[in-house]
Amino acid sequence: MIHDLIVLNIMSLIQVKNRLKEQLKKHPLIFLVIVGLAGMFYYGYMRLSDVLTEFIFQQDVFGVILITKLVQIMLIISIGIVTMSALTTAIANFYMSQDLEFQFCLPVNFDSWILHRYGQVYLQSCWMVLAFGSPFIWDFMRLSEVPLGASLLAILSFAVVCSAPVFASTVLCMFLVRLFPARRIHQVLLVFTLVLMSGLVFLFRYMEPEQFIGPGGIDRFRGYVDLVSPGRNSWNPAIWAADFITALSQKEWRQSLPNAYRLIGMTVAIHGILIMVARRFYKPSWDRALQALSGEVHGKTTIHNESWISRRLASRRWHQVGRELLLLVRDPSQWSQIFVLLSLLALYLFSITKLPLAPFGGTRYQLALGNTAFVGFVAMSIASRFVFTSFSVEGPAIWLMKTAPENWTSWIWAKVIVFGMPTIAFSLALSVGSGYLLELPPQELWWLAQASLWDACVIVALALAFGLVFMNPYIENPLKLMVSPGGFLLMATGLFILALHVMLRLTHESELLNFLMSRIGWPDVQGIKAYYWGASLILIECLATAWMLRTGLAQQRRGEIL
Amino acid sequence: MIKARNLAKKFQTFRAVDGVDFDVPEGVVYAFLGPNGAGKTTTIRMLTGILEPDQGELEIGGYTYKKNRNDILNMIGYIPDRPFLYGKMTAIELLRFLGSLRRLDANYVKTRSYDLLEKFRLTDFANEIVERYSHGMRQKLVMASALLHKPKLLIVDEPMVGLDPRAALQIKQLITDFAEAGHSVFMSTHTLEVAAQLCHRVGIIHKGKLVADETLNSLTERMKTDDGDLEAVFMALTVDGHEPEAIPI
Repeated sequence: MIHDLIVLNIMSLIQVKNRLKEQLKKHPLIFLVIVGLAGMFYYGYMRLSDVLTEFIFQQDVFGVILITKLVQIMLIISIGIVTMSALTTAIANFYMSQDLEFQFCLPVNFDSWILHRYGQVYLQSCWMVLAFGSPFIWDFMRLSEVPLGASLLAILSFAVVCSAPVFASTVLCMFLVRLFPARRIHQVLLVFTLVLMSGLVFLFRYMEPEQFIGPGGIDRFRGYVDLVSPGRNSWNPAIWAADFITALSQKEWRQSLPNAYRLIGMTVAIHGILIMVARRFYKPSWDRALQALSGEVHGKTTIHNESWISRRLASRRWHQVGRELLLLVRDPSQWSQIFVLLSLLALYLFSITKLPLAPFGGTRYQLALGNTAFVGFVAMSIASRFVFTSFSVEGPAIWLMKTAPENWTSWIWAKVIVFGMPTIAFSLALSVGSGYLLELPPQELWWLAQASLWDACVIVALALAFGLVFMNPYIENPLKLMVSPGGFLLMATGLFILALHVMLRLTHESELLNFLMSRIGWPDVQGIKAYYWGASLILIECLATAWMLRTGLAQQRRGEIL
Repeated sequence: MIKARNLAKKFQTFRAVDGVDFDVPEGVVYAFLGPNGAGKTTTIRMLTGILEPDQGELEIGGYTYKKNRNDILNMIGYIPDRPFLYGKMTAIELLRFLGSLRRLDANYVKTRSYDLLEKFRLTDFANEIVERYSHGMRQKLVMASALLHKPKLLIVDEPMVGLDPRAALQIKQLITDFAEAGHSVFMSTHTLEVAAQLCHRVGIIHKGKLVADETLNSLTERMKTDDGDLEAVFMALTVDGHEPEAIPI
């Protein structure tokens, strides 16, 4: 059993190693830059956690109490987040993975296989929570001046707590797949998870975290923590871990033992029960899932009524748009993320009304112009998720397009209409909406709309061009494409251009800024000159986008993609 | 129907197809054979316009891709070896969309679609999303989509993979009828019996080069094998001078 578990894990590690090696070989510079940036970001996060933990820890009387309560809250929130993430990950790993049939043909011990898969679900759903939660516990232990071993044990207890929701989600999935089709459960859970995530974002925003900054902030924070502190349920593993960590931080080794035993007992029980449940329930539910995967047509997916979109497929002019819409509407992994976008829109508009003008010192119009940078960043993220990936999500079925007597421009226009236009509209809504909330007069709103339209159009054009050039029809998850070298380059280029746009507007609007910027070589853009510079920028952007689209289309023709 | 001269395609330093010449006259079924990785699929992808040749000339029905891409594609029906389709569309929606791509009349597409689905025994599943289809059903749907616009040239990559015996027989009949109607078929296959049974002419590609291009009879005569023993010819031309080694059991 142990041997099989080691072999299966080595197999997974080799795949990860090969994937990294391939990336390093294909785009060494971009790969190293991405790794470097990720490292810098994580270092920055650790420093921030360090400073905040130290600040709270040093508060007289209640500092340590506050931190122990925060540890409890963090552990409970982690359980919630991991549960949501593990539900979809467990279904994907246990029932929808491409290599399942191959692995079942191997003479591998069933229990080892289940534990190996469970390990994969654990890693995929917990790594982010562990990466961002551990620095806080580490800092707490460091400030408590405990030995290194105690710090490591504290982090280990955090990792152990996270295994409980992964176990619960995995078992729940095994039961659910016995009752419902795996693919349908995956889609429903995906939508459910995104709705919950949107809710969490809302909850965080309406907590108004800005109230904790400034004089008296720490008192308000303490009151808030008291309010949301969980009850002391003796069956909650998060409480066991929190008490274990607290005892370690106070160097009360004996007192930490009961909770350590509880955590160890829970880990052993989880693995034992998982194996028993899997032996009883996994195989029958897998048989069901396999039937569905290998094409069991049973009438449940029959589409009897022709929808408006479906009828567009027969239209000479709108057939490509119809196809894009149909594929988007029927794929919850695509449209469900719109929930998150809408909640972001609401939060953004809510936040803009809370912005203090005093520290900024400029006019409301200048603030609105500066705000276009944030709007542009949001539009960039949306374009990178939907417009940039729109070519790749065609998948290997792209051969249908390549062997059809169709003009490629209609294909690209369909992407512009279905993915590009909503991005532009979203961007305009954000920008004009925030301008309206800042009580700008109509003329300034009109200029703001034009500025935002320019940004959004350039962003969409860039995302289209990069999407075509870096098209990868074999990618399983569009989100992976966003963090690929192509996605990274798009983000970097887009943000650079956006920065140019915003600086051009602000230096045109503010004489002081124009003067300051001119000292570092920025051209004078006061008066009419701004329009010349703007026109030149637009010309360069148009030429660059056209060149990239041509390159992408030439790649398509030469067949470098498929 | 097809005239290829000095056709070549290179992927970085690897020459997948290296100066291939062949002709496929009208009414002829042409078998394109070769071991794995010999360049069959690359050649087919150049014929179907998916790949652009690095060098050489390609004429289909008197047209070239550079000047008359759409005319050629309207003439071709392509059946790839792996039936990748839009999983979220139903069969009828897919055929409707492909009809629009080819600028066919909507009423014609409707009638023809149901007719083809009936012939391939897919009528009961016409409104099911393709994601739920088995491999064989998808393959049949690809065939239906290839025949939707009544092509004059059928380009087929491994036609029998994943088909049940009844459907395989149906495809053999389709290929024979297609050629008898004066159209042409360019078929790549590993099933040598199918090639020997259906094809008028055989081309064998090995390491990117065409090592044979003649009728089956002249080929077996030239290679001094028994009449119709395509397997012996294939082995002689593609094993690099030595017999395939026995696999240890």
